[in-house]
Amino acid sequence: MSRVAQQLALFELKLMLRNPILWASAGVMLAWRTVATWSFEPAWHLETVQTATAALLVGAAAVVVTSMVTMRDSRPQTAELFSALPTGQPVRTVAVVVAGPIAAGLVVALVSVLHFVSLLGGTPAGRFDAYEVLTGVMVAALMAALGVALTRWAPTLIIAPVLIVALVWAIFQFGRNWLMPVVPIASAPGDISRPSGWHLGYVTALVILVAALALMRHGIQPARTGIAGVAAVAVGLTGWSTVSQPEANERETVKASTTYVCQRLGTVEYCAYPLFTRWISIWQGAVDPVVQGVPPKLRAHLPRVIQLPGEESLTGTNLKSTIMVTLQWGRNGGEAADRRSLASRMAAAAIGLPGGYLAVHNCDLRGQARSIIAIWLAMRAGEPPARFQQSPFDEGPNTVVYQASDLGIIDFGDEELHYARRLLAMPMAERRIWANWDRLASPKTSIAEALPLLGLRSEVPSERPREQPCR
Amino acid sequence: MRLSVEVRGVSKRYGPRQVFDGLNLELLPGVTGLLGPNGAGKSTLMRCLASTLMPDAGRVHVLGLDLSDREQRLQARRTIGYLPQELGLYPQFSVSSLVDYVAILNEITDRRQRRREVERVLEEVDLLTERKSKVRRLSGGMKQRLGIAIALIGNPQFLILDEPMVGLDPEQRMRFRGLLSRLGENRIVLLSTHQTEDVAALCQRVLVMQAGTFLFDGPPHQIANQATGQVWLSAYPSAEGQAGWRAADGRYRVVGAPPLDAEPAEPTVEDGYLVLLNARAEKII
Repeated sequence: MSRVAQQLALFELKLMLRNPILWASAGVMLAWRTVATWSFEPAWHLETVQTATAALLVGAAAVVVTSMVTMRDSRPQTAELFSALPTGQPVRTVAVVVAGPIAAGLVVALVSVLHFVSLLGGTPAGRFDAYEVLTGVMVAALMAALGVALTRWAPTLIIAPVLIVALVWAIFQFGRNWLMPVVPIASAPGDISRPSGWHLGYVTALVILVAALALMRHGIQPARTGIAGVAAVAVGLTGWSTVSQPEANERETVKASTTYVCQRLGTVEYCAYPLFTRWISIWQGAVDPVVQGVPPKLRAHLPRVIQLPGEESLTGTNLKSTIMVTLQWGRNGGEAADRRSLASRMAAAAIGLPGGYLAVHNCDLRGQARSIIAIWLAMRAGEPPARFQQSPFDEGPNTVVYQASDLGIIDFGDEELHYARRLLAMPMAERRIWANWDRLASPKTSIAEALPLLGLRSEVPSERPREQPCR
Repeated sequence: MRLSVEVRGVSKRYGPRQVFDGLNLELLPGVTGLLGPNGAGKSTLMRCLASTLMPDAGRVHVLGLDLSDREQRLQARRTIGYLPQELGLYPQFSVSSLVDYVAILNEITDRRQRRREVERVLEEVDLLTERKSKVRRLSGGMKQRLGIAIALIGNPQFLILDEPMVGLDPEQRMRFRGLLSRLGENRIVLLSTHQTEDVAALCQRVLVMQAGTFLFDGPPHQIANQATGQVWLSAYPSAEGQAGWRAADGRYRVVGAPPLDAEPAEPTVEDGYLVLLNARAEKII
């Protein structure tokens, strides 16, 4: 790179780093990721991929900026002035194709760092994948280089908007894995299907290839052709490696090990992936109030809490003694639903309700005494369990509708909720409950029979089960 | 390196229109004015000299460097300062950024030297105080001065200025005349203009071009002499004169056939220029 090209690249870099379009896109990227992660504890394995994907926003702005900069010397009146200068268009292309990707990459790097630092305020877990972060930087660089190359080959201002429209179309057309293996969008651990190192190599090789193609507009020279050829081979090899190891990233970044780290805190065992052990105390915060409501002699038999997805095969035996949590947990108010769900499942297990993973048919707890105890236990951790609701679940070509409450595939009514609230307000309710635990936990004991045992009076009308009663 | 520009047998055609054919010219240090009506081929000639346009035939040598040779052309561009007739400036750039940018394109890679050069050329055109202003905020005259500043970057030995005075106020024109006459002391300056008084004031040599040929090549006073005996002052207008207008004193100044009660007047460069163009037109008719 000649001294003139270096100085010109530096000049263009300074100019681009003051470009409002680039900074506006940076603001949108930061706002997007901040809003998207506001209600969730940071899970690095996901967030690094999502941030890399969000870099497309800065990339789109970079296409517009580099295209405009490239068009600068194509204006008729300017071309006249420039063509009399000793520095020709190829040098100007070198400068823009170097400065554009650097500027876009720097902006993405800065936004990513700001975003990740802000996430440190939570309880981040999972593997921080630096390759993914760098991929975000390179994705923006790729878009910047594309802006230069396309505008050199088709010098019109419309080319940048056309590229952005094509990009948006591709995202909607190909869904999560659009233009694989360029930028898959991950929203859950299972969606991450690329080995990040190879993928970074792939995107980097693409940047070099596109930059070389931009320069080849000024003539086929051995150096340019050589670089383009090597980059093309690298794109092929790294692209093949990326798509041929779809599970590699999940294995590397999510689990980091095939074994769990298990800790027994009190009477409950918690098992997390090695990089998620910081969340055990969060789970314990939701489970402990429930455990304290269970008679001490039974606490040793409570199920363990284990993180999904796991390597263990889940059979009927271990399902019954296991409560599963995922790789997501809420924060800033978003944790309420996770706390409620985990506490409810522990409460359901403690009172002996049919396990969520084993129950394949709906059943109804209305009228049963144990429903009051289950809800009371769950509410000790905070909110009452969510009621029976339908939730659509996308399963391939068909959308299946599942019905479930926080207690499992189990319905319950207002009556038991009412008495659970009364119990919660009653001092020393545990003593009455523990003293009559076996009767209260029995599916055969009705609410009417339980109320005197609990020191409560009948206050609301009884409801009849709407489905098959739970056994 | 010989300080001259040589044009030998240069021809240029735009489609069916022959702009000039077999044109010859030699430019030496000093300010040379290029006069001619619109479409005479002045701007095309200047483009050929600035190496932005390749002639169809013939050779152009700038300071001994052949513009038809790629390497020599590149070297020649390092010695040329060019202000095109229509200058496209980047409105979003600041004045100093734009000059700095062109300075880099002029291969001034040392940052300190470039900063000095930017300040020097902006000082020359009295734009130093506007260096932080955006180009889009400049008046037409200021933009023209900025264009001149850009042409001066790198202290070129051959300055080609295509209508540089357009949009300049009288004070700026005077200042610019001073600058050009200073520059012309040790370099070649080719100045295209429609302002004959500028030519008379600062050019050592005048070229009058029409339809791709030079009608005149000589010092300004000689072009004025072309109109000797053809310029009149009268109380009456002339129907047969080539040009005539009522002057500030209420009398008519007529170029060509004398009107009634006419008295001869001292011809100017403008008068000579008009006579030259009309003589050529009559020949063609």
